[in-house]
Amino acid sequence: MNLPLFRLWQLLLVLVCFTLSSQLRAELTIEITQGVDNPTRIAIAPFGWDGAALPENLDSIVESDLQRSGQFSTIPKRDMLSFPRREADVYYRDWRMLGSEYLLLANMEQTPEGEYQLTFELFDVLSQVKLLRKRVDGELSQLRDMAHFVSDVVYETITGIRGAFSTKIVYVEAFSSERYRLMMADADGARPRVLLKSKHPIMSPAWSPDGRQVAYVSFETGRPAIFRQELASGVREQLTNFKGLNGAPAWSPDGSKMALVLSKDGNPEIYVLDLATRKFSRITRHFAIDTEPNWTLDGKGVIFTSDRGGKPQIYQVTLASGRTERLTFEGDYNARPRLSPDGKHLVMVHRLNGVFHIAAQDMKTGMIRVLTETHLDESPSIAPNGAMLMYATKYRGKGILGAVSLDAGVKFRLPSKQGDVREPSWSPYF
Amino acid sequence: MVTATDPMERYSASASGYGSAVLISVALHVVLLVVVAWGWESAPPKQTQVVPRYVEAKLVEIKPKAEKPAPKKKTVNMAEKRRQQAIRDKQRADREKQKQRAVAEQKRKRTEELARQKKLAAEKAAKEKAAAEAARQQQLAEQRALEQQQLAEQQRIAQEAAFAEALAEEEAMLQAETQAQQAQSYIGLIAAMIEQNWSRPPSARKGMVCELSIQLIPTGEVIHVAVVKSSGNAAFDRSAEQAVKKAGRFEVLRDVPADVFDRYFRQLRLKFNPQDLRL
Amino acid sequence: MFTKALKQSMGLAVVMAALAGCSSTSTTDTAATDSSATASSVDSSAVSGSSMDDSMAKLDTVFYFDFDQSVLKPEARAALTAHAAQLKASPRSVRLEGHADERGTREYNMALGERRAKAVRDFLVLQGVDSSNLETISYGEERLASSSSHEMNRRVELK
Repeated sequence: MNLPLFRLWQLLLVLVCFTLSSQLRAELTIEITQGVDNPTRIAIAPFGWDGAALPENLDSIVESDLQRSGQFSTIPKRDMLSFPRREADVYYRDWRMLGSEYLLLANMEQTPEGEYQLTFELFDVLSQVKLLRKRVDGELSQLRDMAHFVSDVVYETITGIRGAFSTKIVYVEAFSSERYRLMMADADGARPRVLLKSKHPIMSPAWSPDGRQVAYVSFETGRPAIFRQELASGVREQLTNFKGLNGAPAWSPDGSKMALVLSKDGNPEIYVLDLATRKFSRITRHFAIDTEPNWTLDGKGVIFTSDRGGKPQIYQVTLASGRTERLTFEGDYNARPRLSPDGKHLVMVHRLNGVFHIAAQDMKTGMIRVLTETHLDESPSIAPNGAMLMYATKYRGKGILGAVSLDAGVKFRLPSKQGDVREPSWSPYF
Repeated sequence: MVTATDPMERYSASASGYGSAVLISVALHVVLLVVVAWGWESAPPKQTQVVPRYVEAKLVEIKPKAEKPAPKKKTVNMAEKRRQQAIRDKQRADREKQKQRAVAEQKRKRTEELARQKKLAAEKAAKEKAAAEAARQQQLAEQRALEQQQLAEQQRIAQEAAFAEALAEEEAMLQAETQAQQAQSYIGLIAAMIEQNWSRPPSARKGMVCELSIQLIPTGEVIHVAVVKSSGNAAFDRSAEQAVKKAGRFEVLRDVPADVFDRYFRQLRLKFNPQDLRL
Repeated sequence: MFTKALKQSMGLAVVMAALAGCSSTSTTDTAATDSSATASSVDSSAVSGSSMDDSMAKLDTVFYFDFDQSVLKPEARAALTAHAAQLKASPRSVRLEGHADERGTREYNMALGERRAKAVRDFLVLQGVDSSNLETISYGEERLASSSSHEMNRRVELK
């Protein structure tokens, strides 16, 4: 008998029987309908470095980034059994015992030219596989940026959402009624930089879509006026000089136009300024207050606050047709609208039982969810990945910044500064 | 017949006067009558075979008759002669008649006998046939009875078998129900363990569903996990896999009876269909 | 519970403000405003002359409003009428600064402050003051007068 052929038939028979039997046995399906959304546990081993002490502690920066996102909880270093710096040193069982789902290793080296090279690896402890190995280079002044890059990569690999740890924020800091500053800092509040110092109020900072400029309202001329400032050079330009209100600048998605509020024609109305031609077009014509404009994602419409219905509510106007429709119907005060990057949620200041909170309205269902538990909340600004939003609130009488995830599952406060901090604006991706 | 005529001729030779003439005429009349009588008897072969005996018997009677006629007076009394002739005729006729009667009787007897015998034979045949038939019938009946008995037996066996089968089926159903009930409690425990370990990524949205196929061993350990139906979101799928891997081992399954384990838990499907997402 | 207390205290504050406005013994309540009024009147008297001192010292230059309202209260109207007379007599540029309390959004409060300032201006214009002398500026909630009292912030300052 031809032995290999016989074996082949045997194998075929076994396979057929197996498939048949597995077909015959009806597979039980168990339905899982909820979860607990515990943060993903990740171990970040101390980054390897054999040189002189660095001015920044990179693994701590990554740890803070991931924890602040609310999606991760990190394993304390004191619990770690070893500090591996490369794959060969990894014993998965050790990390599994700690309850860690992921392990991040990194090793820093310096080239003879002085450049820093950070090589990092991410491991899936449960599946016992290496997920990635990447390298990021930078100078001494960029150590924090390198750490944020690592955070971005880890965050995106595990959650599927692009990380926003390398973004920036702009905000107003008020030290007294005579001392105001326009500040720019990292998204985690580090490396604050003064953009403008003034004795007069500064309001409504807004990032340009390319992240290179900031527009804001300044009272430095004795009247509110809109300015724009290039971040790299510090060069400023006054865009409006009308009597009455000049406020709420909002860049169009393509950066070519700016929506703003002027009351030069009798009452606050919304106008659009073409930045190339410097021509103003009037958008609203109503004796009520129309203010706080913000663009729709396609740049064809503007959402704004209006009390034409008696109390502040949010409306949307289509620029081409002028057709205006009301968007909010719940509550007696809805203002300062901002659309999420995917256009599915409308974030606003919403008054509930006399208390001002930040709320999100589902654009499809109209359902409103209150996101914050703090009081006197205002100025919500959404991160470019849509995962978090930052806002201004009061804590023990002092103005601070708070952050909350769009599903209200994660909440935290940013460290308070010297003065009252207000009006955060989250940068786009650079 | 030839022999019959022959004695006649000898008689006619030896007779003299009237006596011889009467004798000859009587003989001739007898011959004639016999011929006539025998001629009408176109009987079956059997009868014709029988006939010769009668004929011989007759001949024997005739001879004495022939010797009887005593010598008479020569006085010719015509009337007397005629009267005597008539008597003789009558006697002859009577004898004839008797003979005929006897013949007929014999014939009848013969026929009867034949018939009787035939009847007997027939009866016998019939009886035999009947007996055979009866025997056959009986045999048939016996066979049928046997068949019926066998059939009944078969039916009984079949009935018993069916009953046993039904019983077994019911038992199996009951067992399956018990198994299912047992499995149900474990299913709840497994689902709870997985839910406790399932962290959804921030990109998870209502409506996302993914299915995993997992393989377990009797200790409850998960030895294989695979995504069989993706939700379209890689992070969502991965979170489901992670939930199973974090659970790792379903200790409770150790208590499950082997048959229940094999039937329900060796190969499982998990359908992740979250109902509690806010977004 | 907090909101109920807030409502009660607000209600009480409003009632008190009304009483303060209505009653003749308003001096204690407006003590703070009087001092600022005195300061401003000192400036104005320097411009217009010492003969104005006595009448100026008594005029309010801060006018308060109810929550989400830009309606002038009777006492404001009274004071403004006097201001109007003064301004007609000796015209000068007047700056009307409108404010709002810190509840609500900033830009909307800018509009509210402007509404209040315009209410004062419109009243003065009705009284015959030349509108070209009147400038209205809104500070919204950017220049709070008080960090604890909402009603102290809902104001227009005449400068």
